[in-house]
Amino acid sequence: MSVHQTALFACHQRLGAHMVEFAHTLLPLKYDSEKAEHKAVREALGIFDVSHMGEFLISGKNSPEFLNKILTNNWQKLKPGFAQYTLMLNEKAGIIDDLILYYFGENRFMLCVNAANILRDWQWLNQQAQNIPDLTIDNASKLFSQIALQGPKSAALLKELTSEPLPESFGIKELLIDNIACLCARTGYTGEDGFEIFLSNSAAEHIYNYLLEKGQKWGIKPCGLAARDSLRLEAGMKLHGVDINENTTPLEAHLMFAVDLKKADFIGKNILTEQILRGPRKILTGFKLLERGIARHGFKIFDNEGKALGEVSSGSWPVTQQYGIGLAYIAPEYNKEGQEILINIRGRTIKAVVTKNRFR
Amino acid sequence: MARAIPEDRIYSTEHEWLKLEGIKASIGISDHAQCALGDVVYVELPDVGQNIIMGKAIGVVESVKAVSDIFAPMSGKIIAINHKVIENPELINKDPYGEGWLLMIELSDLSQKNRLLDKSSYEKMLNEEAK
Repeated sequence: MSVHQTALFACHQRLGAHMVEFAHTLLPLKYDSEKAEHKAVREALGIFDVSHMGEFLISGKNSPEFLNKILTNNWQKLKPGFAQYTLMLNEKAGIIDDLILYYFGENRFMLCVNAANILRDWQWLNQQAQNIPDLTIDNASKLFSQIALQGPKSAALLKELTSEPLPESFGIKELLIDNIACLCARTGYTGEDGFEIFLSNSAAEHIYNYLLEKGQKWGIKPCGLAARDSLRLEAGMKLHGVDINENTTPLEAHLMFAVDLKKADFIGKNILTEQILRGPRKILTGFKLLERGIARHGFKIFDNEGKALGEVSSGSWPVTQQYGIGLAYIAPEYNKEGQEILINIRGRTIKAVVTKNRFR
Repeated sequence: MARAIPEDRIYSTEHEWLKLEGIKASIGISDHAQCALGDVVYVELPDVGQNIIMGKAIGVVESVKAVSDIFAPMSGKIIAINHKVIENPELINKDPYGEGWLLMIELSDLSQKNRLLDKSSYEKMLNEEAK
């Protein structure tokens, strides 16, 4: 499969980005310093190119029922112009993808899915939609560019640039930015207040440059994938393909908040319910190291007697903590805050402790 | 972003620098190396008193995205390690030729220096790699 460029490629080049291939797309890994970019989002404002993400448009009289069947969360909790985090499961309750569902009202919805899963999700949606009348699904991924503005100053910047009131948290509305219509969602993948802006490919470069220029006085910094990863991990957010996949269930992945068991039925519900009764074999939990080092995906976890407890799924360098942090799957009996564990980091045994899933 | 390559030291093909001071030498990684690595977040160095052998891996520099071995540019016995860099790994990015030094050794074979590159040969190697 060929590698794509986003509509913002020229911007990244001009800014001196170190580019990397991710999900068949050339994206900035970082501009000058991953740490500085991470800090900018926590303290001021970062701007990200997230055009690689996928967008599916779903509509029709049967779309509400269809979505409640294939997704774990309940869209009926939403008012028009609002969104929710939700999961798409296979029949074994394994997570095909985690995504945001946006509800526009009048049986119109948008799903924003992980770039790496666009094809798989599309295949699954079509499979499940077969023979359902009054249901339209469109893969609009190639039609949208997406810019994320994340950080405590993001609302202040947008307030200056648009005359309309901004959407509330998890809200989505069309705003005019420099006279260009943009779909602005108050969602994000960093744990900060922020906006994910969906716009046409033809307008993307102009809007990106405009936001970057107007954001200077707020301390805006262009941010790449490296900062995106350390930010989401610090916020306890999962990355599909790394922390969750088709072989992990929402119960194991500590994602039951995105599941509405009161729904009559959804794909995977019966297996998930069984697992809740039986108990999971492993649980995704947070940990922090007590010594120097960085735990990475796949590193093994033990107790003091050398018994295998699980393994690391995501690990990161210390930002606000003194030592490294991460997420790991461990045996449920050990999933207690304060539980001491040992992690094998390239042959060294490093002391760590189980924490909550979030680090900030 | 590229800093000037100092004239007063010699370089290995693995992007370490070595500054000779009689029979002693201080060792670090080059500006090119720190730039390629990105933000250094962790450094693992051997202990004082250890003997190191030219070309062998002696420690680790870990950045946000990757782990990279540090190779001994020449053989000798370690007489000092830079504790500041262990506490503040970002010194390697900020000042790779100064405060970001890694260790100091007593050389066991001075003739090994002839197998390392001077500034212009190292520069040439970088230009070749960039092509």
